[in-house]
Amino acid sequence: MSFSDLNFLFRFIPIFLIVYYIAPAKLRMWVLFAGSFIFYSFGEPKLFVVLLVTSVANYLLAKASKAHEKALFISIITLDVAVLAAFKMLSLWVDSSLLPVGISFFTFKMISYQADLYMGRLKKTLSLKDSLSYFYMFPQVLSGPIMRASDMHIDEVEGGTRLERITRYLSNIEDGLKFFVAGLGMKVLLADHFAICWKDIYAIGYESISTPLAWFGAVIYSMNLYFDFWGYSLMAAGLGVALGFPFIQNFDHPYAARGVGEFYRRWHVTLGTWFRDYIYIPLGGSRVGKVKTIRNLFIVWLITGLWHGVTVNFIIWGLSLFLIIIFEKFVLNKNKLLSIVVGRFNVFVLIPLTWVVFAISDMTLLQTYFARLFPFFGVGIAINHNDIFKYLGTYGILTAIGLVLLVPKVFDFMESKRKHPFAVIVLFILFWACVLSLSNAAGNPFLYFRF
Amino acid sequence: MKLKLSQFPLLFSLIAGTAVVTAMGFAGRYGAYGDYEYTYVDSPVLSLFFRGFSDGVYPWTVSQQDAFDGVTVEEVVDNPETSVADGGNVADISGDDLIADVSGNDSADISGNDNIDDVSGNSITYTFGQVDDDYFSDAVFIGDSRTVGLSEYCEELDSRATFYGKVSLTIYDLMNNEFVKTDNGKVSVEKALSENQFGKVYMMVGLNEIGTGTVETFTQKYSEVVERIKELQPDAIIYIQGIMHVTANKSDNDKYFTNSNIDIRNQALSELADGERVFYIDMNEAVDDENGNLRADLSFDDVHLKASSYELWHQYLLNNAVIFN
Repeated sequence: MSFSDLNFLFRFIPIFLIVYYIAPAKLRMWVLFAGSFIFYSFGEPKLFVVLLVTSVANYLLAKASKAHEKALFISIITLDVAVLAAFKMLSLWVDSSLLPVGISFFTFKMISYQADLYMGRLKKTLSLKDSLSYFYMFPQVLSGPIMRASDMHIDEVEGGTRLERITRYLSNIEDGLKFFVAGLGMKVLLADHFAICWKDIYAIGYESISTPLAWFGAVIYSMNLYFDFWGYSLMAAGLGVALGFPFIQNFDHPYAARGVGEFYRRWHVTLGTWFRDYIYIPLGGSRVGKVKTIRNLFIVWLITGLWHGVTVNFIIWGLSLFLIIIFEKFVLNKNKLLSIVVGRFNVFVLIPLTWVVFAISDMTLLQTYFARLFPFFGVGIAINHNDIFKYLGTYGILTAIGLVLLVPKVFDFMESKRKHPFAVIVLFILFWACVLSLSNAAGNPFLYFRF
Repeated sequence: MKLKLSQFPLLFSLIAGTAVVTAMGFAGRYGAYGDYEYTYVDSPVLSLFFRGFSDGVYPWTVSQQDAFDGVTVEEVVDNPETSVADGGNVADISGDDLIADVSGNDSADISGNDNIDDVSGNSITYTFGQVDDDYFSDAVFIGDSRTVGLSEYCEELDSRATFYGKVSLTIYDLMNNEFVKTDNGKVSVEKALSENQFGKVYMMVGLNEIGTGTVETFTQKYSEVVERIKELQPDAIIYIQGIMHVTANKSDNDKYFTNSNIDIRNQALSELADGERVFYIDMNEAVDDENGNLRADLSFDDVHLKASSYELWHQYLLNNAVIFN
């Protein structure tokens, strides 16, 4: 089940919210666990037991451990990493369906939990119900954000009269709903359409796309990822808020960054901070001299690449970013103006190119695509040089909307005005536009696969 | 202090909206939306309202069961599985024998009728032979996204022939959907054919509607469309092109888009040929592998030819033009 699913929107969420808020505060985490268990198992009918077993194991091992007790800590971490690595390798070499949904995210939550306890950052272990609901919580289980265990506290004792409590619940839901609908719109109306465009370009055959179309494709794919992930992050944060959790910032206008290093502090914020707190800083970060800093960055980016996928292109992707970041950190920083200008070039031109590497796992196809981006090698057959006009015609408006939303002030303005009646009307319309799109995609398999 | 709904405008307006569209969905469930494939488990009933909305069908719209022109892609007259798979409802199409003929390996009767006696007893003789690209200067190609692809990746044809192609086109909306670009906006194929005369009309549709209706309803409608085209284009011959196959990867893994379903429909279409003005050709012989599936190396998405493979279709057309003796 995903967030952009009609059964989730109109069946799961209403029922869940009602049960969650009717339940007394003490039982709410059990309700969250139960609902999340149902949500997760629906989407992972084959391997759902993996999350259950690892959750209980991490709960028990955490209880048994003490801060700064090295041996037990090393074993727990090894176990969590081994589970992740094992399934990744199974999915690569045996069968691609052998990767439990969300495993990259929940194992990282587990590792962060154990590490925070070990380092003394977290003083108390989580109770069973808090552990289970922390690892399972449906707003985060699929694709993050990687919340920290310290954020896992909901007031057990509820103050106020019944009216005050109900007002609080409804306010949570109202506020969360606004972020959720904004995210839903980004995913269904923008990202999913960019995805169709990218798929159409694939169907042409990369050897046959014109160079303008190849560049347009890189932009389209970049925007697909951008709005898919931003949309998801907003939906996840909105759901969290609706349940009474704090808003988790997972995406912060990355294309406003002045360099690739900054880009990745803004894109998938919780993943970046995870790597910073649990790998980069423990290795010494940037306080250990130039050579070791470079080594630390190399390790972080190699693992980042592998975390996203185990085929070669992901390793190339991770290491390309490593090289650009090193360049920015040690070469460009000599001159302030240069670092800003070149940094922005890196963000607007190099990052989309790295997304192409991220997108295409077949090395031959990837080479062909780059040969069309930089057509100096004579690669290309049956190219229709007017193809770009067709795609601009179909996707031009959406692309323009996407580009406008890249500017931080645009969304920030809308966010600041979210209580305004006009904003409510816009969100209302946006929601039903999404439902229209989803009804026609899901309701009729033929209509979705339109040939 | 009282609880005011206006403190939570988005939440309550969405709840109200949900109630309304759900009621609409229920209202039309067995009426206007009766032909839509739907079960309660699949999705909330409000989805019916939205599906209908995008087809221009509302709960108060009279059911379109008898009117083929307004039929949506979702129209399901009988259970598509039984009518296609085991030939339950279909009179003539019954199993494997005929499929062998249509796969293109035994092309004697299907794609190359040499001599046919017409009804009056006079022989109209013709063969399928070779022509050059100028043959297509007075041709029009009508079809779905595969035809669109042909116009984009076959310059020899695109520079000479006219193309009325549209993604997701079906036989049911071929005549009336207004997608043909003219100086005065978009018009329907029916209108375009009444204003322009061609020497040859090539048609290829049938894939988008393969999971709906029956072979009979499809063939019936196709036959009506062909008759209408004959009226509008008195001097043209009509080439019914068999539906192009999909790859084995698609055919083996999809419920509806299988090559056996395609072959059954192609067989039915081939019987619409009269050897005088209406002919049937099947370009699958140019693109199939030995098992009657679209060759995997010719497509990236299992359904469309990649750009560099359209030349095979082009060559097939050059080699299979009707030449009257």
